[in-house]
Amino acid sequence: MFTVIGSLLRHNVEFLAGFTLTVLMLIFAALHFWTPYPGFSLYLLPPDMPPSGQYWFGTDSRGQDVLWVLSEALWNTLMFGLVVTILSRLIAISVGMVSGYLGGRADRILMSVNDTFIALPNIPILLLVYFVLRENMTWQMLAICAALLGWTYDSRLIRSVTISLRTREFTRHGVFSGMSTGRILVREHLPYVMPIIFFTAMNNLIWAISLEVTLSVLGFADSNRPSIGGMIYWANQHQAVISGIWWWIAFPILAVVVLFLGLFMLAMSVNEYVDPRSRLDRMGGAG
Amino acid sequence: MKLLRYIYTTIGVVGLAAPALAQEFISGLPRNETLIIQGPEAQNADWFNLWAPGGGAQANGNQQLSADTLWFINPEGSGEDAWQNALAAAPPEYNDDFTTMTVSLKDGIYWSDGQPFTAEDVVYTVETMIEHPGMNWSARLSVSVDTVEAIDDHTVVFNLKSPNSRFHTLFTVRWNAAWIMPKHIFSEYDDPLTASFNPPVSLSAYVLENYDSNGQWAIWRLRDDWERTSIGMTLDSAPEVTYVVYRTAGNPDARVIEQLNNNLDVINDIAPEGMFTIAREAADTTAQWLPGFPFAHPDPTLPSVLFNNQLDKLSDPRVRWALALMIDIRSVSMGSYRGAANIAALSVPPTGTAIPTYYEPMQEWLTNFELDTGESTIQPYNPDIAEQIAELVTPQWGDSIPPDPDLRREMFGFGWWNQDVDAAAELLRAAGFTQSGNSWLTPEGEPFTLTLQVEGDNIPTLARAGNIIAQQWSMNGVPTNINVAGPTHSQRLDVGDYEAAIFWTVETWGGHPDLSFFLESFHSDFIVPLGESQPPRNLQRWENAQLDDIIERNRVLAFDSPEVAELGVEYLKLAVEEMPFIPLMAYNKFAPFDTTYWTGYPSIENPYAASGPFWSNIRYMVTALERTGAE
Repeated sequence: MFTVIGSLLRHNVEFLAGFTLTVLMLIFAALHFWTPYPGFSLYLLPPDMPPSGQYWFGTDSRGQDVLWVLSEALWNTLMFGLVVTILSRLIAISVGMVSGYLGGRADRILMSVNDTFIALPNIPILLLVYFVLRENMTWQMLAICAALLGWTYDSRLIRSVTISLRTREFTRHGVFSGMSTGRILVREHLPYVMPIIFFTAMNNLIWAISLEVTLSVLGFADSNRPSIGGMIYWANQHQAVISGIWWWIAFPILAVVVLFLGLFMLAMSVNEYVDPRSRLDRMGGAG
Repeated sequence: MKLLRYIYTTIGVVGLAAPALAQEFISGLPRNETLIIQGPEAQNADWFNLWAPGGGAQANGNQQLSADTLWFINPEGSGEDAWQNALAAAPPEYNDDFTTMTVSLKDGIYWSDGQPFTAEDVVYTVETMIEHPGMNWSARLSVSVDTVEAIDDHTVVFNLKSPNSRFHTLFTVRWNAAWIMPKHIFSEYDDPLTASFNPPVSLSAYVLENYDSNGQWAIWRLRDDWERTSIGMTLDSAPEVTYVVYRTAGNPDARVIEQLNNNLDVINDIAPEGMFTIAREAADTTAQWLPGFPFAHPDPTLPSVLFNNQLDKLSDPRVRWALALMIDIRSVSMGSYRGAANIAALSVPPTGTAIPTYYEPMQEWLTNFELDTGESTIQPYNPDIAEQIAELVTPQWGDSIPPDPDLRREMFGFGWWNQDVDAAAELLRAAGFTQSGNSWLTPEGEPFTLTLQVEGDNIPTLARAGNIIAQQWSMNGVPTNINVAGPTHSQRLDVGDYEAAIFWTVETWGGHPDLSFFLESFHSDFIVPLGESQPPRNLQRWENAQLDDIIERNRVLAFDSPEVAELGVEYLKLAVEEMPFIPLMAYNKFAPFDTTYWTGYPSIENPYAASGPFWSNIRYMVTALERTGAE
């Protein structure tokens, strides 16, 4: 795994750029642990100050320093995205590999559940859950709900890879030598599925963050917990766009754009690595 | 600033492409004869029946421009000027024990289809609503009216079931009231509850010209026979506004941009920052209630921190007082309204006639008011707090804030309670709470935490006020969560499914000292157990024997009796002692007017009508506006 990442960093410019941007955003988000102004405290600073030497990203109409709020918001948004990604990967891997390996009736049952979930519209369901749970709707709860909706396409992808692995020679060797199904899946097949999981994880992270931003901008989230969408929500509440407080909206949007760019380039370059044809292309071989 | 203007125009063209396309409906109207008002979105736009719930927008001009009833009270006025006889020729006449009310009607008023308006219409209205439960005023009419009869074409006598000196308020418009139905139209319908009354026949100076069945706009036209209406009779010359358009205008940003582009003459419900932008960018073409900062129009409505008095932990006045003393009203005013709030310590809004009747005379009592915390006695009232807020905003708005102290009090309010965290702790201890570290345990040993419910987007200023208060309570040892309830806010308040909330249960006539408008509903007869729907207004579910006594004495006083104000003072003192909810401020609304095409809007110097687009007495504004001559 690490040797793969190492060689990708050395030989693949997109991977290098994506990796750098993502790590930079992570470092920026982690800085909030040293914040002088915790995100829930308001009106500590003069409001509406434009970016300057004193306040690098300016201050918002709630008397907060945009730089520090953004750092904490980015961290919270990333945490949300990661929780959704990890949970939904676990579901996608289990369903995809079990379904693909076992086939038959188990496959049919799992895939009909899977396809049912694919057909469900995400945002209306999350809003419904929000209105039912109301104040019990913590961000962790929201992440679990999002994870339950975000695994379906990827499990189908993983299933297709598993189906092809199942017919390979080494699988048959494993079965005849008495390995259990679980052991075959984890020991033999998972390494082949790993790059796909990594690629889909990047896409899923982008999807989860977009979901969080959408819900928070609409006000369907804890408005006191800084998040990227929450910053835009409060900026709208203070009519920042027409009041000319552009830095309150511009910096959160910029942060999301940079983060997405980084994640997208990571996903693309890993996809290239996973796909044998494009690897041959890079090596100058015949396609 | 030219550049900014250009940007707004571009945003207006690009971002509002959909509304811009919808503008075509106005294209046939001469702009210099048309007043364009920000309207609501109608769910069921084909419904114009104001007497039965049908999902139509009543506030899209229907109740403001075409319906009419017996009397109006100008929420901004005071004294005799505030009372306006509409369909009635004179104020109501009661007998000695308030069991009959006689009304004489004006002569020469006609419906827009040419039928004369008579006493028969009034009798029909009352009898129909009593016969059909579920119509909008059925319950209140059924409770009060025994019989109603037309003595002649212009005299109606109501025989009441029990003495009720406030019966006429059913037909007295503050925001709206029981409108009069056209008998000759409704008697044709099988069921008045299911009739859409489309197109509506008008009893006032404007009649429906056209409307959008998707509920986005409605156009009203001046009647050819406008002088045969109650408002037309009072005018010396024809109204200059020929067409009134009520149209939706999107979110607060879109409203501001549309007004900057001169496409909306009247808007409201924008954030203070939006108001400041208009005042900065379009000072020459904008008028508003106040000449300068804080610009706002104070509605006679009282945003407060409501407490659910039926919950054990909030049932003790000492606890409610402790929570009041944890609040620093200056931060609340700065955070919610950028200082443009009109703060209120008494539980009536500091507007209109309440200032000379209640606020000014009670300052001395408030200043000397003593609170026994169980460990000490404090005088919590600070008469200068509003002045301190005025000082805070002076660096930014200095030039536009008048030096006259009386005028400043009308803008910023009078005083409020000093933040006093030590006294709050003493009160909590006296109420049996115990301190553990920086937090509190209730007498039952539970952690003392609160959830503060706000509506959210719809009223940004109040959502912001809630956030500040939650933060102050949390910092002072009562961890408080904010719950943004959105569209479920009022339903949850209604059944008592909340702990604390930002909303109002006090609304006054504004132009009259009588408090029955909200006080009547505070009687303990109407209180229901938690989980059941509380009849309107006493959402804090406050029960008090002294309060009942005040309400019962008010019922048998004449509306204009001077003793009404004395009872009002009694109520206000009781509300200070008990603190059933914490009054914060008048409901300041930012409702700027575009003066490109029209002048003569109401203002604090000339408060002849209310200022918001949805008040029914905006009709007095519409008929008074004058053309500027702009084409």
